[in-house]
Amino acid sequence: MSAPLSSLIEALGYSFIQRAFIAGTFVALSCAILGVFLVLRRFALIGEGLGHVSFGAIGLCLLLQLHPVYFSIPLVVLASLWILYLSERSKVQGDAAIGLTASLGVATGVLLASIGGGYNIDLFSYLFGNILVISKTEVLLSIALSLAVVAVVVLLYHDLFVTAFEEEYARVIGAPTRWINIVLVVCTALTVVLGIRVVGIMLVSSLLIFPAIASLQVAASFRGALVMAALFAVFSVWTGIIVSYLWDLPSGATIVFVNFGCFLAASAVGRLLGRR
Amino acid sequence: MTIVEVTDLAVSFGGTEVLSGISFAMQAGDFLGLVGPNGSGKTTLVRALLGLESPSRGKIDLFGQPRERFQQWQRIGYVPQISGTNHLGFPASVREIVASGRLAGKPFPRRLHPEDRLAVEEVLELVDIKALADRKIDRLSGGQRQRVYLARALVAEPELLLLDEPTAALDPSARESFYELLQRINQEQQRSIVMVTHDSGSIGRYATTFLYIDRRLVFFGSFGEFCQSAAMTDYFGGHAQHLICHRHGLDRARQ
Repeated sequence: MSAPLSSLIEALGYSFIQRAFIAGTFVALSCAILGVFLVLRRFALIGEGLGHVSFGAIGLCLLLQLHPVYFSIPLVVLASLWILYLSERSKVQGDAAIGLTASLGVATGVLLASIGGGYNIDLFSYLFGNILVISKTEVLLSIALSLAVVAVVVLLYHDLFVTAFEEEYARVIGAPTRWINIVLVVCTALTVVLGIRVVGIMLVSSLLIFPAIASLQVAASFRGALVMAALFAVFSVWTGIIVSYLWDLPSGATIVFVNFGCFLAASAVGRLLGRR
Repeated sequence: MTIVEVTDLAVSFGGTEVLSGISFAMQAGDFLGLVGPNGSGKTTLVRALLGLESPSRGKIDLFGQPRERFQQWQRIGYVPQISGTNHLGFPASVREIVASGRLAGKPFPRRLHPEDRLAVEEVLELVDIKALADRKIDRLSGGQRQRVYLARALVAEPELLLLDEPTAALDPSARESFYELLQRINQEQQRSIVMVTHDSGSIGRYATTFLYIDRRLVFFGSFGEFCQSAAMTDYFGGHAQHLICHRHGLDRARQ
């Protein structure tokens, strides 16, 4: 048996690797499914913005000695609603609303890090994430929230589809588009906080964007796009975990590069199939 | 039966009235051509009928109910304006898009049932796009896409169809066949139609009623009345009225 294969089999016996696989799979699934809607709604950067907001939220939690993941969730959810409010109800454009909220989030984190002093290292460890250190409770939270997100998408599938395709038409046929948008950004906020453990604040939007755009290169139907995005996402997380363990690389960055590889492959296949 | 009744409607954007004094009534079975120059408020009027714009004055009744209380949106099919860049890269098949039209009027959580799937197949047949059912929407030509949106509007079996410049992006032959399809839907299926168009030269061959607006009501009545109206001859000039009413065709027929 080759050395990498035997060390991989050995690794699968470790509980921290098992936890990484379980949590990574669930987070990847929910990110990929939401990502398809976000990319098609031109909301792709909301993940990036909420990631930055979570930097400030985690900073605050560390300062107040609260659990950084659990207590960041409501703060990031509030920020997602704030972005939606700014882009829908005020004269601030959607991308500007995201940029504005993101920079406020980072500024909050930096200020709090400066005030708090001692916990800087903790805060900065969230920037790039490490799925290999995920705790058992965080795994359970990832499973529960990811399942909740997938259940919401299944339940609202048709409304989400018709709103993504043409929001005005959706309103004409009676879809509650305002609520649909709220549900979409709140679910995104939840997955962003979970994604931080997998790839970190700086890279969390990659979990939302890469599988979605890879699937859009090859899918001929909406259902097909969702299924393919889920497959690309899970493949990238699994391969990323294995490669990062075997070659001692940072897991978040490795996952992003596998995602990028999937995107390149899907683009090539899409060209061959004439779908682009 | 009166299905649409608009009384003294006005719509304002930022304090400027873009439509005012619009009154007309539509009977079941009418094919209404809504015509006017660029910026005359045609699309705004359609959007007000659909509840996408709020009137600043006046009243809209749909199927005998004030629009604010009207909830039976499955009775109205809407075909929005399309452009060449609409939905570029959107991964939806023709069948998925047409099926979304069946969601109108369904209670939460909206689900599609076998009878909905059957209705989709029937309408794909009617609009003659069955062969395109599994194609991605952004791979279709303008004329094909327009038929997809018409199928999506028709699939809920609406009593009234609202079409916003459906022929603007079509070449002359696709435009004629689209008009003929609409006429068939109007006459054979007894569906009422409101069609916004610039194409005042063709609409008269198909529409039964004519509503001409230019931010206010210029003319409302039957096509025959329009063609015989001395007031409209004064408004448009004899030549334009001659073209709209196809008198040149009649002149040739008489020769």
